[in-house]
Amino acid sequence: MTVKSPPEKSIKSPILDKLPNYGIQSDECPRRAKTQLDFIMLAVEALELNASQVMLTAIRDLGLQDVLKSRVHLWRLRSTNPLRKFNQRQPLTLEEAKALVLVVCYLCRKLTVLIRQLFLGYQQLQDQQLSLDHHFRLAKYLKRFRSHFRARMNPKRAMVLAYSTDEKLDELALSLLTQLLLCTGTRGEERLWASLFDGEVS
Amino acid sequence: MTIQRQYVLPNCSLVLEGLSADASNVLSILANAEFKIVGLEKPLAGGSEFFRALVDAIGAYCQRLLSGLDHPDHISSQSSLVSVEPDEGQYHRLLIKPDVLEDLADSSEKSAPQTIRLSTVQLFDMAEAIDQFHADAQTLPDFSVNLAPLPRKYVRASEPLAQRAIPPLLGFGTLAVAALGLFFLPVPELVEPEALEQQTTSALEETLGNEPATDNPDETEPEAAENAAAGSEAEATESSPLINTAITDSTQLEALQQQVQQQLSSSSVGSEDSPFEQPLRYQISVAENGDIVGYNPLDEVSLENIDTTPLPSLTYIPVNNAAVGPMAQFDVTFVPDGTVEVVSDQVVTPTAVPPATVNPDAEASESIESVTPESITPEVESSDAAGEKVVPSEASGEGADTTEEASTASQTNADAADSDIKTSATAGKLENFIATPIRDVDRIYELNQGLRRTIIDNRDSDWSGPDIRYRVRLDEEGNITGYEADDAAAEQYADELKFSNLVKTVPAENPQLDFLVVISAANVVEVNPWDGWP
Repeated sequence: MTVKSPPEKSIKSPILDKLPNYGIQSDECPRRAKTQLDFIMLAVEALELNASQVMLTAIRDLGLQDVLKSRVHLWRLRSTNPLRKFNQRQPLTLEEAKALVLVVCYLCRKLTVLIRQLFLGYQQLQDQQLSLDHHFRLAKYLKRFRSHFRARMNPKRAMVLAYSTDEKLDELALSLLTQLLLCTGTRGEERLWASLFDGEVS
Repeated sequence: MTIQRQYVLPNCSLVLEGLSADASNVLSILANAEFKIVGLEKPLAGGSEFFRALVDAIGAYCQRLLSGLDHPDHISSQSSLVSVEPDEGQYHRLLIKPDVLEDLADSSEKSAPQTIRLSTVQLFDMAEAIDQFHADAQTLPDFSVNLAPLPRKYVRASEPLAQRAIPPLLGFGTLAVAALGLFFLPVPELVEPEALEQQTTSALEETLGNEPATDNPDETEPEAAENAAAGSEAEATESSPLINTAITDSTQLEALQQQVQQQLSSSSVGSEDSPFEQPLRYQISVAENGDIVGYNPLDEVSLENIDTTPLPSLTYIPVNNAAVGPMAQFDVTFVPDGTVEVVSDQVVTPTAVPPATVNPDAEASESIESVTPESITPEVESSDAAGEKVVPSEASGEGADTTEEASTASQTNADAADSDIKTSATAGKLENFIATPIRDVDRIYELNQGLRRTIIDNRDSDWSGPDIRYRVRLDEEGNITGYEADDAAAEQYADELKFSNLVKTVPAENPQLDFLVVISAANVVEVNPWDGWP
């Protein structure tokens, strides 16, 4: 086979340069970052029915195919979360993490209305001192999140064990919902990206 | 010219008023900032100081919501003007010092900070308004909004140092306590195993110039070796009445007594010109068939003169110790004039045996007292001196293996006490010890396999019968240097196996090893080293 064109240079997507490296020496994301990214994506999946397809579309829309190559690759990156049942003991590079952050924020923006509705409902429930089950959409989100979490996280891990009850998981789901709300903001990507390295830089 | 910028969001709107430093439309000098929050009566308004503090606090708090780690910028302290704290559920508390707020700056209640309860969405809208202002290049371009990860130094360890120090301290503490406790325990005494003691005894014999004892500590050693150690003091073979049941039937005892009497009298004829002056007394154990299986001198003189009695030569050490049936004990007295008296411990004999010189009961008790160290020496170390394998002489008449050959051997032995080591073993008899046993495991394995092959080749394929056993001695080349059959059946079958043709004479100094050959009823050949695998 004759090759007529020079080998393709891997061109870094310029969109990734939006997120600074914060002077991090290694190319690998810290453990908490992997967990947090995966959890946030789990929350997105709980909100969005067809999340995995939507994610792939988002990757295409953002032009990140070079970094997030396929559905399997995406799954493998998410499985770097050490709390997962099928944990891939692989590093999550900064570039891949950046791409994931961009995808998550892209999806969150599309879900802005829903997220705000949920918060409105949450606020009403709390003001009337009603349990979370009384808001149909919110209860559905929490239920889906719980089942996703239990299906995918390794129950033997101490951190996962801390979320053994429904109440604890609901708490986690709501705090993740807050994070999703923050991701919808103008500087959502930067905020999420910076938060991944909280306590990790010198 | 006053410039006003407004950022409107569903729950909040931010209005910035200021001046432009130059003719352009850029708001560069902030005069007043005002947050109008839906649901709040009064807008939060203040100068640039207030705005700066609010931006930092809210930005930091948003990062806290994302990462769960407290940022120093939003935590309330003495110096901070604005701080944000989490409240119940989805609410957050915005704490603003009254000095920085315009409408409260001159009011009386300066000390207490103003607290505003914000829902998450309201808080987010404030942050979003700030972010939008930050994105707007036309407003306060010099005003930077920090957004950086929290440095490591601000992260408090999830567990205090004291708690983290507990496990190692506990570990060291336990170790120290254990060490202290064990310090007071006495050092355990070294208990020498018995086998070692035996070996030292035999080593002692070697130094006395005797024939080296076999280094085989196996007490089941069935064969007595050629006697080459004249005058050895350790010749006493221990009577072993404890292992076996005693014969109690008095008629049987009498018969045995007579038999032994005859046996000893006929054998002691040769030693009529006895060198001893005193009567020699021994306790002997006799098997059911009349074999003397053990003897025990009852005093010093008897021990010294043991070689002048026929006992060492008559003693038959059974092939299989465990197989020996019940035994009877007799006291034997050799009188200097050549007569022999046999007295049973249990039966007062009505026969013509002269009355015992000693009261049997006294003798029995004496026997217990007079057990000298030598007399309790296990048979192994004395086996080299205990005489050749001795079968009962014709006089006894009962032994299953009363073969001519064996009896000749017993006779030759009587005067062959000082003879040299035989250079080779012959069929039916094997020297008890091997001068230089083969120790190489691989070599032993090969020999084992070779011997097995030889026997399989030679055996009668149609043979069937009881289990038969042989002890076969091989040298290093695999030549059979001697063999010994376990019983009569085995001896008969040995001819079929052509053992006698295979036996080669080899100097005894050559390395050799004994093997146990078992041909089972099903004609299966098993070969193993006699003393087990090393």
